[in-house]
Amino acid sequence: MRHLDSGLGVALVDAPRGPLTALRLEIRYGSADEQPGQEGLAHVLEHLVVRCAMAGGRVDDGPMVTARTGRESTHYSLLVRSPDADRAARMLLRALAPLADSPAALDAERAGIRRERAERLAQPAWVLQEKLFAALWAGTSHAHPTLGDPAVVDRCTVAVARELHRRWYRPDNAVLVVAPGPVPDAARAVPPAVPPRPAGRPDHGRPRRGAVWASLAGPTPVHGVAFAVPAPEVPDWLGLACRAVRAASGLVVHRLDLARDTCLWFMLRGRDRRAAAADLRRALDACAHRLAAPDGDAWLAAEAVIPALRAAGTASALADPARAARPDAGRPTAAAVAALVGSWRAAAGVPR
Amino acid sequence: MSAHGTRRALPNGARLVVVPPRPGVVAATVAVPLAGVTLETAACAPAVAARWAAELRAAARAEDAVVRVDPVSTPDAAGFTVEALDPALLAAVPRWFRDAAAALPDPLAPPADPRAPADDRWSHPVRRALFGSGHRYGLTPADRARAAQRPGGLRRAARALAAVPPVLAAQAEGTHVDVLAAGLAALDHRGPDAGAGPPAPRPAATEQRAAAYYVLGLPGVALGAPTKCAHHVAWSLLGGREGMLDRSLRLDGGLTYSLAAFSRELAEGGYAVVYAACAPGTAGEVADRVQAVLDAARGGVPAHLVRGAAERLVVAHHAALETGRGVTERAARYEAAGLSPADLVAYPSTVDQVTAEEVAAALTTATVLSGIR
Repeated sequence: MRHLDSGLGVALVDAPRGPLTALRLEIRYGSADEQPGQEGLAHVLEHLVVRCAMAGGRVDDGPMVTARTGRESTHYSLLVRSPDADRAARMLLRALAPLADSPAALDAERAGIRRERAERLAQPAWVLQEKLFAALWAGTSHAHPTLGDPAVVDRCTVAVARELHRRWYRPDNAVLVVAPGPVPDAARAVPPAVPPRPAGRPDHGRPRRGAVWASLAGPTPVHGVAFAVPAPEVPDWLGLACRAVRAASGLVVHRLDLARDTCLWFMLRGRDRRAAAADLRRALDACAHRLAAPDGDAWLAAEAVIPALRAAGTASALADPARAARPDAGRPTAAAVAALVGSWRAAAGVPR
Repeated sequence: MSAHGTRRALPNGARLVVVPPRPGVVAATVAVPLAGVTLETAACAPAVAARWAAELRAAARAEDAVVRVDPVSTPDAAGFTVEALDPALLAAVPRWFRDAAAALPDPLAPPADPRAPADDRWSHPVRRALFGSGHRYGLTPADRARAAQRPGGLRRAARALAAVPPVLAAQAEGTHVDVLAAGLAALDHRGPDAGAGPPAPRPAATEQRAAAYYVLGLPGVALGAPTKCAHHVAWSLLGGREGMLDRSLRLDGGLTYSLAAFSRELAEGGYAVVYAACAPGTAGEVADRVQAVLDAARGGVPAHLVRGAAERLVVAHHAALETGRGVTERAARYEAAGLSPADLVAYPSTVDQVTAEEVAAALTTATVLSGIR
């Protein structure tokens, strides 16, 4: 990655030029950066930036920006025809210009966020996931959901939104990824950040050690278990292990990569946690068993490596650090993946 | 070989489509066209495709070949896609197919394959209403399950499908192309099984007003129709995030939790579906708003919105062809419908030329045929 005079970080992905270019603007400001009393405002800003700064987020009425507020960053992504990359970059980088919002725009986005919240709350998987996060990150700024606190969102004013935007949406706090390069002219035209540079990010804290459980009651109760492991040096090995567990057992391994930690969680239906733990143990054992078979390496290649490489070669994936392949990372053996899966059994507290 | 790919018809009736390989994962798709097979055979085709894929997986594994095999099942074809890191492995696909078809056990049990492709949600009732129970497009999951459970049904279907000359679309170059052609030419086919041809599609509309769901089906056009791209642009305008329906139903009306509107083009016909999950008691208002949006779109759409919708389709088209599997599955689908790889490549330029008048005409035709006002 290089930094332009404005302080904007630009990461160019070295790949053959195809018909499409993917762009991703990442702002290092997520829900974990919110102070008490600000829960949900990173997400409000994301909405306001698309509506007000990006004028709805379409490139010439065509491709539309996808925006996501995460725990540690907020990002805006676009997939366009390669000749349109510069126009797309110009639209994305409007996020860094002073925010010209209004009370009416804020009201409209608040209404959208209320709908989004209602839809999320209707999804048991989301509710359980957030319960697990709250338990795993208790006492830290990661504990609250990115959707935040509805009361905080309702109290937000235009002045508050503009102040937060001024602090976080700065070229020296942003990275533009272009896959494949070159640097769009629009990126060179971004004016430098206005001094002084704000204070650094707050400490996000660390997760609890060991596994946490949470449950949702209902006719068929759902149980979840989560734990954190140090962020892996070779992230695609972790992805292969996730795919292998699913292929061997049908169980989905959910994953969130953070700067220092990777969170993993499982959700299982069952009458109680004991039964869910037994199912989890069986699923992880089934994967380890399959990997230990004489054709374990070929099975791993068919079930995990080929789908991972297929997905990683697209322009959108190349612009997303979490999805891009690491060709220099080598390919793990089935035994190495089995060992990784085995370590999850201990981390989840379901030993043999 | 052209950048578009080449097609070759072989003496046994099989057809080979070769597209240039790219670095990374390469793919080959075998598709057995269902045009002309009996309804029972078509109903069993997804199950047979799953069994072929399983047998092929085992055959490849027995040779220590590192490949991934997934079944492919559409209303027009049944088959499988093979993906590999080593392009040379794809040369064995015709042989594996022959061995897999011959190795199917007797009696043949319906498979439980988690990789079986899922159909578009809410399409079945629409297709049933539009094409009727006598056409393979009108088959429902229940029809397929019944046919696969019928004693000997799956076995008969497997034999019938193995006798249909297949389409093979593969990423290959150099000597691999000749090896593929030779392997495909060596397959033994007796032609389609005897049976009455499918009846013509019955244009009709279905509208379902359930407690919390609204489904509207409209007749569409076939994959080879000259107005296909106008229909695509029309449904791109209507559907999608912040499309005309989303704006009216979700953003303005707050009526829907989930909304889908899309068109599908098949070898012998097409259809479009509007699906909305809504609060109980609001299906009537949803129906009124859908009608109002269709009326407005038929009355004319601003040219800049048409251009934007076309642009989104072009980007989606290129994105779908970014993987080898995406290329070979579409090339096979086109070939099974009598279209060439050049038609696939020409899609972006054809979509770019669609006008606002053609979009309005496409929607008018669909709604007039459906019988809604």
